[in-house]
Amino acid sequence: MGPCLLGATLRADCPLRVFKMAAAPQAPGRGSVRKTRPLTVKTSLNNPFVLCWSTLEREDMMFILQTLEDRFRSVGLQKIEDKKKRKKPLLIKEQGREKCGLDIGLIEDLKEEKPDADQQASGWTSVHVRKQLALGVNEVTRALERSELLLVLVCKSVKPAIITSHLIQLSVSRSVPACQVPRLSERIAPVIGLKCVLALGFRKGTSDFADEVRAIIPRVPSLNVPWLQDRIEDSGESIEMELLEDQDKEILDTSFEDLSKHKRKFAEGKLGSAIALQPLKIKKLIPNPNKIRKPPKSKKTILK
Amino acid sequence: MAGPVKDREAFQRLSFLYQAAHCVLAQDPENQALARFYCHTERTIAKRLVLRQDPSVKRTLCRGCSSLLIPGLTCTQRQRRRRGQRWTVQTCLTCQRSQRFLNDPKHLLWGDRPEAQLGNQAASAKHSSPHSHPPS
Repeated sequence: MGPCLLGATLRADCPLRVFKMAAAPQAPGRGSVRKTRPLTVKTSLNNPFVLCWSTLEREDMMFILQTLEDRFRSVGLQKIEDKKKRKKPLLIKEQGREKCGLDIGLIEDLKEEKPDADQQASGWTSVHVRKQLALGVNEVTRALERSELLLVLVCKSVKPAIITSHLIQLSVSRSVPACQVPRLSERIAPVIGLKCVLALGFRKGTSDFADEVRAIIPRVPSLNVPWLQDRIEDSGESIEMELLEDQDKEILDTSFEDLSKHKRKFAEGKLGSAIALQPLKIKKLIPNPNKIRKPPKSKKTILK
Repeated sequence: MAGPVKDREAFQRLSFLYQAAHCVLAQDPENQALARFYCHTERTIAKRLVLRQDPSVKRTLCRGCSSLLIPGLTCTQRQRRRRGQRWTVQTCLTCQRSQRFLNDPKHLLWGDRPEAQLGNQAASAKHSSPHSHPPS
């Protein structure tokens, strides 16, 4: 009685209940023998688009990691070692910090605060090299928003994935090749001297890393975003977005003219050819049996 | 799988509006008002018929102005630190409303857990999650 009433009061106005007699979580018995409660299934609209990174082949992944590591070692590690020693007292202080972009701000402050006599200056040892890179999710995001990047590399072993998932759409909209490389953070972070590197970007006009960028770009698979795909289908890894935009504008102009002439049929035809309508995706959920619920207004309290 | 889902047409309408909003923004990034209108209609339908939406859909819609959030175009997304924890903050550019998501590697939405899926009813072990305890 109790649970049934409870169920009724909570979901009385929800018309979408599909009852299924199945192995259901046992309702807390109220004395009477009741076998199973009908299992309510909630249907919810699932996202028709699935945004995911494209898979990277193993050899490409090893190649990319290897080239990056070598390059960082040859350019940076000798110089940035001092910073590594400096950072340890910092890391102990700020325990909550993990994002590398934030650390750099701190390091630069320290640089100004403590003009050390010895060569172990805290901070990046080669500032001009550092300026050609965008390290850290926030920095990469900002650079992508301003379209300053040539290549974006993202670490794949990120939990939760929401940290970097927005970069997919961003980089596709700017036609910047990007890929997810597992273990990026594990390999590159110690090389540079940071705690973790979740995203890495090479700015335009980078002189030191131009070779690496050119070597890596052909190996990066193209990203798939369903609604933006038709815009960028032929570009592949090209960075000439303006050209594409012009072409698209021409196509759009012609299509609009036609739309105005023939109303319905043409519109449907154009839509069908341009972007395919994704099928409806529905997710069926079983409600959480452990869900915290407010005690019902009746006196039968549920202890929280 | 239950073939006849109630309000299937309503769901199809929601899905269509959602995709149409994306297409609009893909073709004309300036015309955000139309995308906002589509998403507003979608929200109204869902509200009127009490249709449930997946969190992945809800997170891309702004709750204040119901515009479609596309990072880089209509919203910004940053990692921020607050009180020792790391959050992902999504800010809508039109109404400046921000959403915060905690970056907890152990957290998994109920909808993504395997025991929530209809096919896995047998595995209905009560998953101990930090946010719930069984009603006594």
